[in-house]
Amino acid sequence: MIREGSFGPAEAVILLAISNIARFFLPYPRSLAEIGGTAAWLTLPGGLVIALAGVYVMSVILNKYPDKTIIEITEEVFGPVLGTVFNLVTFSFFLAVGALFTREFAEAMIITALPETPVSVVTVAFLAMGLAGAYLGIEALARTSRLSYLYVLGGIALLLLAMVPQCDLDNLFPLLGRGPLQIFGNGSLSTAAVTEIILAAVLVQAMGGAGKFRSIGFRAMLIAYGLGVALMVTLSMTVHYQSLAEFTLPFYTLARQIYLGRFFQRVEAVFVIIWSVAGALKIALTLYGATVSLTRLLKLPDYRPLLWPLGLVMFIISLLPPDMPASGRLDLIILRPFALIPNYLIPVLVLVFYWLRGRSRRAGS
Amino acid sequence: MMIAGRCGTINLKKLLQIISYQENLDTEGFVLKETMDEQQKTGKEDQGQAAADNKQKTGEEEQKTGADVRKEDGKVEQQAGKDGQKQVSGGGDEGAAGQNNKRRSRRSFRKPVPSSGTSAQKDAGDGRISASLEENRRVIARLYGLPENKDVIIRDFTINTVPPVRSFAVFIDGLTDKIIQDLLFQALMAFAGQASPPGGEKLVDLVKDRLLPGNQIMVTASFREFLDGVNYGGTALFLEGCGKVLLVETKGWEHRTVDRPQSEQTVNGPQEAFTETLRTNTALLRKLLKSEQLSTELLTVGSRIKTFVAVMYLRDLANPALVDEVKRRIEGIKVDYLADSGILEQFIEDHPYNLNPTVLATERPDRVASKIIEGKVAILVDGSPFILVVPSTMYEQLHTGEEVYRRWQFGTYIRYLRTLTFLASFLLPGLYISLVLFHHEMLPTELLLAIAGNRERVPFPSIMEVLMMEFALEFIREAGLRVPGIMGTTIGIVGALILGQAAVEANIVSPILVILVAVTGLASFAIPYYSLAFTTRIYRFIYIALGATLGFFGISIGLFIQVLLTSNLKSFGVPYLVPTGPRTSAGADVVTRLPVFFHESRPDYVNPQDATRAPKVSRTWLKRDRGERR
Amino acid sequence: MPAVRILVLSLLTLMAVLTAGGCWGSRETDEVAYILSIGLDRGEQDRFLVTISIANPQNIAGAGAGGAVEGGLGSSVIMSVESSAVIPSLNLFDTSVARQLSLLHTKAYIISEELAREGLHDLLLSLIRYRELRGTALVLVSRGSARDFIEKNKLLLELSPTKQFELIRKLTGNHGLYASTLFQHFYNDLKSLSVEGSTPLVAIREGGRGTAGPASGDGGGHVLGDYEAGEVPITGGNPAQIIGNAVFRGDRMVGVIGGEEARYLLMLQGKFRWGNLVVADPLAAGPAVVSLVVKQAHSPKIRTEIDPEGNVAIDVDIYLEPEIIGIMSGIDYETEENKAVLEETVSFEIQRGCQELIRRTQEEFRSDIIGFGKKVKHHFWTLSAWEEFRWLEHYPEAEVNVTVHSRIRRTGLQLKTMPYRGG
Repeated sequence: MIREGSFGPAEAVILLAISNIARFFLPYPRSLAEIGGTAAWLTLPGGLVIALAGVYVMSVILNKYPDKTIIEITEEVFGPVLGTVFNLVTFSFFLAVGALFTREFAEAMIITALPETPVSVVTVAFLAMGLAGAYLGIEALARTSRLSYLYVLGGIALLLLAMVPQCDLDNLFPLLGRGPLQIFGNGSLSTAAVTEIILAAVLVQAMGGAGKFRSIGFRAMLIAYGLGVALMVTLSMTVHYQSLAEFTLPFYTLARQIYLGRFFQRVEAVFVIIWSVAGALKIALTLYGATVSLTRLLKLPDYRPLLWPLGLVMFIISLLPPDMPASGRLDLIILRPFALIPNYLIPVLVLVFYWLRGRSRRAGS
Repeated sequence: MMIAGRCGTINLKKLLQIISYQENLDTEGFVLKETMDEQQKTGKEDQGQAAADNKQKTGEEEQKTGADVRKEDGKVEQQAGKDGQKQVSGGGDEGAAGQNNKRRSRRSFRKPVPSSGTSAQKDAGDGRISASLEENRRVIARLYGLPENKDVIIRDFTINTVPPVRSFAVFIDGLTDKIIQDLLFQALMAFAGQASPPGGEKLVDLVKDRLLPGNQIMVTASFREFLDGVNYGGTALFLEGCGKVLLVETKGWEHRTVDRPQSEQTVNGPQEAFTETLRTNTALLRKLLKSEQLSTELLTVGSRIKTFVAVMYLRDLANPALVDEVKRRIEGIKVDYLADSGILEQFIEDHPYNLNPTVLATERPDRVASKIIEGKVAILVDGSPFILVVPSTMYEQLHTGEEVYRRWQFGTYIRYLRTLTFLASFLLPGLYISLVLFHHEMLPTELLLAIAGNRERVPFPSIMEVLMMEFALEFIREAGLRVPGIMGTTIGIVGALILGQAAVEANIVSPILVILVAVTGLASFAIPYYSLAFTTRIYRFIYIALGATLGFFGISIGLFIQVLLTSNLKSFGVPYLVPTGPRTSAGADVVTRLPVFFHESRPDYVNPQDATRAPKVSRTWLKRDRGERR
Repeated sequence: MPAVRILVLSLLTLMAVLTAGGCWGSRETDEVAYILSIGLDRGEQDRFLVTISIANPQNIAGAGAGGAVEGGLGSSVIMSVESSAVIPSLNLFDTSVARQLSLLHTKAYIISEELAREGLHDLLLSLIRYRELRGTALVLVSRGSARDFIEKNKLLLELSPTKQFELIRKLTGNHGLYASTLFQHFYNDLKSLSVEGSTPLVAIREGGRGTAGPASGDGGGHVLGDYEAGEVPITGGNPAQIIGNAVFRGDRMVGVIGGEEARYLLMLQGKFRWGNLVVADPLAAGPAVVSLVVKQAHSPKIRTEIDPEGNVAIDVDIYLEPEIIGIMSGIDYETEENKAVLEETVSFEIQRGCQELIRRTQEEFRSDIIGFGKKVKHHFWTLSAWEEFRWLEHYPEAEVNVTVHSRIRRTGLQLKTMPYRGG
């Protein structure tokens, strides 16, 4: 009913992976260092396991209704009232992620590159990129991510390589950091709070159907978490864990530390390009996710008319947090736990309900 | 007036009359409608037999001729003179002037008599050729506007049969080949010698089958076909008592010979270029693709003047849907005249509002051949040396074809170099301006201090400096193209050198910027496809603006939007950035040019009927060698 | 395609809005003055005396070199002001410079010994947050006032003063007479529980040739670089000297090690690359020396053990590859047995030096500047256990054994020394 276009699995994997690693450009690694200490990187494998399980559960659900997305499935399983409530949760999650990421990326841009620019201008610029992306559709976004991934991932790889001379393996010890409970409990729950499972479930029809969902999801998660581990390991090895927990933008700090002789230093502004592109992709995706989930919820024929009002709503929400630390706190305290609901809780509930209904129907017949 | 001035008897009104604008109807003899409103208005007035308006310059191109008009014009001028005075005295009030105009519009125009030509053309559509020579001659005179139209020659002669047959030939002087025509006349007038020719329709068959040595002869009874044939350089033979005409192909107009490519020069590979003649161009292609599967479909575009458009493809390769789509688009063009393939390109392209061209135009037959063999479709327009190839991708537009002729290492190196030039051609000035304005920390200290030291003496802000240099470069580029002949290249070099040197010495720009702009210009010239180079030229200014407002963040906004817009493009159903966005099987020739024996399949995005180009093992001699050694 | 038109239009509108709003934060290069180095002293009236050296790009760019600045300004301008905080003091300078001062290209932070001994914590904490400060700048401690150092530091070969500091960092690998420290690493060391910081020591040499003697005269006497900054008896040229390191415990400077000890420090850390070394000729009768180029073959092997009482034992193996560059006595050290003797001597000398350095850090400074803690850390599983262990307090009691393995791999251009006639 909505013309979404379609794209191949290769693009889908890259799209989801880039969207996932966008958070590492924000203050997020800092909070991981706080949770895990020297073993901040160990929080990611645990999160990966949860995320893979989440992808699996979601793929099971999607395979039950091969020509529907999670929005319609939720509504069908829970009925119109409860289903709509759950779908509204999903929608508001997308909106919240989009708004907070817009604000955080804007703040990051101000801190790193444009200290004298008003936050509203940078926010508008980010949202304009997001709107353009969402307007042109998921197909164009997927292709854009496919085209830019070499530069995004290549830039990250280059950064990590450039940091090798400053890496000190000893910084990874003690191996378990703040203790297994912190790392695999608190830390893994935090790293498992991704947007991409539910996003992929909303986009599933454009990605080529439910059949491909599992392999796409698994591969995207493996790439994203693999990169995340590489980033966190490098961060931990170069920056002392105490200092790491202090920095607002650890990734930027890392880029600033590059020193490969008299000429090859001071390259962090190049990374500004990389991560603002990644941020714009993420914002466009979440905006698209919010719009499409609302469109599907309201059973409208096209999502584009909703784009402008939702963009405006996102803009207004993004300006609500009073300051940068507050937006960071909101991300940590509200968004991360919130992410667990649409990504893991609702799918599990859907599955349980589906079984229960199936059983009652069987019992009835 | 001079006399009047000298006499000192000049009054103000007269002076005003001298300086106020007056239409000189004497020399122009007609007036043109200027705007759409005027045209509509006059149209209505014409219908209502209303008077024409002097200021609004009503009139038809074809005016009444003769002394009476002159006289009338003279009157009008007098009247206009008076009105002019009034107008001035009225303080140039528009309303007053309008009233004046209305009152003044005394001169009435007859609707032009429909010229003989138009009605004749109407006849020609369904007109049949009559058996009477005289009747035919009259119709032809009407059709071509004879005897005023001096290009059309009617040559009377008799065919040398035993009762001789009266006939005449019609052709256009200059479009036909005189030698062939001599042969024709010789055959008919001297050697025919046939006894008792039959009458009526059979006579045509006799002449065609036994007497006339022309290589292409068409028999038709329609004046429309007769006109098309003669207009395209044919010679028409009318025979007494016969309702049909023989059209003999005698094309032989002056044309440019096959020359070296002007805008796509290469070191390796064929050095031929297309010319303005359609048939030469199809022949150049067919010379390269000697196959019975190569189809040339001729379409015509243009309602007033017909232009031939040829669509060429390999029947056993090209996707039929693609061929149909190309033909559908070309046939769907409603225009009165198609002057060049560049215009056709704009009519059939998918995204006219995007900067990137989605159709490839080339003047090299070998390139077109290489595209046709990939399953693409070539569009040739009569009169244009640039051949369009669809569908086209951006990667293809960055190729020259030459890379394949060279060894693969060299080809690959050139391709990567070109990637760099492509990026530099639109990004470099924007990056510079954002570095200098926003990201001082990014430059190595000594370089920054060097830039700052040089900028110290420059009185302009850096954005002005960059724009000045960029525009200077654009001027040189444009002037270098327009300057006649040999001076062109010289102007380019001299202009760049002298301008740069002088600007630096005058402390108007810093030397680093001159280098930068020169490098950008070079990079832009290194892009092989002229349209794409144009795209980057314009994008460059967008990036300068973005870089100057938001620094690297602005650049990344630009990059993101540009990639989004570009990846959204399609060329005849094929995504423009294929095979990277969307990902398809890349093949061996995108950026990295693998050795030729890996070029095993055609690009799958065209969906050719046969995807394999060569077997897995293209160098069968290798196998044999190994076998022998064993 | 109206979609494209709308997009193009919105892009244009956006650009128009952006351009109309002005260029936020854009700064022409000629509106900014770049600070190349900052010196920090204790102030007389206020807390700090901040000295800055600003680049003069006109002179550095060299365009129109015969200009008006002959004899006037050099490649840098030096100014000082007293202030209660470092970064805000830049605004005070602005009152006389008329350009925005930028720390983006500051290559060195020079801190006076006096200030360093009082503690750098508040000073550095206030700096690292600032976005213009770059972690890749050098941190130097100056004996005497930092202001003096900046003022008297005469550039002789370099046009740009920044090059001096870049080269200082590079040169540490070529002689190892000081261990250079980047701001970011020094900051990490201050936060770390396993290693203490140290920075290169700079000073202005005052007086003539013989005013200052070697810092520690005990031992063989034939060692190169046993000086602290300001004591190297050079005459002429630039009076600024960099040799030796300042040793920190926590954020306070607690002492100074000389150039030779800095080498041992680098060897123990595995960062020594290359350097000339002089040892007393073991076989010669008179006071002859052998000159060698020493290369560290690979990083030292450090084995640590903790017994249940918390006593730490550390064994360090250092691997060196000397190459002979000069033999005064003419003794044939290329032969196998003589070579072994020479290797033994080199190993012994360096081993003694390392042990002496460790003894000083344990007893005199009580500070683990070498970073043994990084290896001891491996014995712990969690951070809380490691933090409770309090390594830095245990360090002085740790038992450290250093073994040096030298192998002379090459003997330069000569494979054999023939005795010369006469003598």
